[in-house]
Amino acid sequence: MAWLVTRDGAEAEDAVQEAFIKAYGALGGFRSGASFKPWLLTIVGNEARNRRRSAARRAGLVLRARGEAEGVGAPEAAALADERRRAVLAALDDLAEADRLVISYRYLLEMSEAETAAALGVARGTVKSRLSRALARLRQNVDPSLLAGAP
Amino acid sequence: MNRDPVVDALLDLAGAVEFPDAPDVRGAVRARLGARRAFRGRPRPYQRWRRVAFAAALVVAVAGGFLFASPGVRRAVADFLGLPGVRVEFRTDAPTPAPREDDVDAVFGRRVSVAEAEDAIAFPLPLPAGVAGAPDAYLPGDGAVALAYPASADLPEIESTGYGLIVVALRDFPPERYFGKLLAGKNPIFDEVEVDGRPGFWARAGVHTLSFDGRLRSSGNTLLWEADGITFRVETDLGVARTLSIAESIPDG
Repeated sequence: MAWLVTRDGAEAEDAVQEAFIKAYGALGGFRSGASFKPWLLTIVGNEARNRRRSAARRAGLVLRARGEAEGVGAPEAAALADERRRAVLAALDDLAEADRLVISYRYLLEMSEAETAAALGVARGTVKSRLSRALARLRQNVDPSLLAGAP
Repeated sequence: MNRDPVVDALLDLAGAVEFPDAPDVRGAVRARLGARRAFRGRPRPYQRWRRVAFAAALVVAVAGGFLFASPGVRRAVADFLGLPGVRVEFRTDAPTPAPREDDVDAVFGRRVSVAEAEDAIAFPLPLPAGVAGAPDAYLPGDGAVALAYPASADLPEIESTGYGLIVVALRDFPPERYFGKLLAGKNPIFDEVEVDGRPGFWARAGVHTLSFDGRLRSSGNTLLWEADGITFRVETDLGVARTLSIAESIPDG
């Protein structure tokens, strides 16, 4: 999650480390019985965002080698799936950061709406509306014929 | 199949994306927290409780994979406690141990005489001082020994075993064999403790299920620590203070 914000391995590592230290120091403010994960995600998200501003280089997500990502199947189908994934990944990368993060948290990291809201530092309602708009923009940027073959 | 093709494509993409390997920040975090502790002195009781919750939450957080969501996280979790021969596994549902049937033998291996056990290992038998009665000895495998003491007035029976104290020590245990701690539920707790000044972990009964060689049983209260390359596991039905006292009477390697 931190990496998706900073796009830099070292910055992400520092963010996570700092977040755990801050979480430890802030445990007194953690309400007993509250859900821990969103609370911690809020702290990690804040740290990652702070570090993003100072990160000079930005790396992008890449696809795994085809042998790892695919089972054994028809080469044509594998090539088509590969093309679709590259197109979706490129379109995702072209989105504004707010759109890219909400989609990445919900679908790549499969975080819940509450967790996504905590990580982004926004209300759950904002996650819903932002996600809807972000998906619409992503849809516009991907060739529909490629999406038609999605599993 | 999702009705929205773009969502389907994203979910498909999730399985094909290569996330960077998760860095292992545990050591750095612990070192920094340790430096703070040394500066501030011993924690007050409420701080201790918080640390307990935090230790467990840190485990859960990392195990959940939501920070980096990569296979590296899973490898880190496997060795989270940092104790050779002990692994933590997380389950969404609690595994159900089979009904008790010579459980200790099933979990801890072959029953042998104490003398045989002593010959079989390359370090001193982990005999706690001041515990009455002779232990039953078991050999879980090369490099490991288990000593089980009968229940007594001072050592209440660990429900699932019939014994009152079980001490396991292992060194150079084959990597493919390990004592697994299966955690389930919302609040699995491993308390951080010190055993003779060394970092250790305390897990209360009911928190985890013990697995060994594919066999399961409910675990009693368990203390884990490492000293001089030997991993120790002490299981009792006692509280943490009395268990620590027993643990600290066991000679190191």
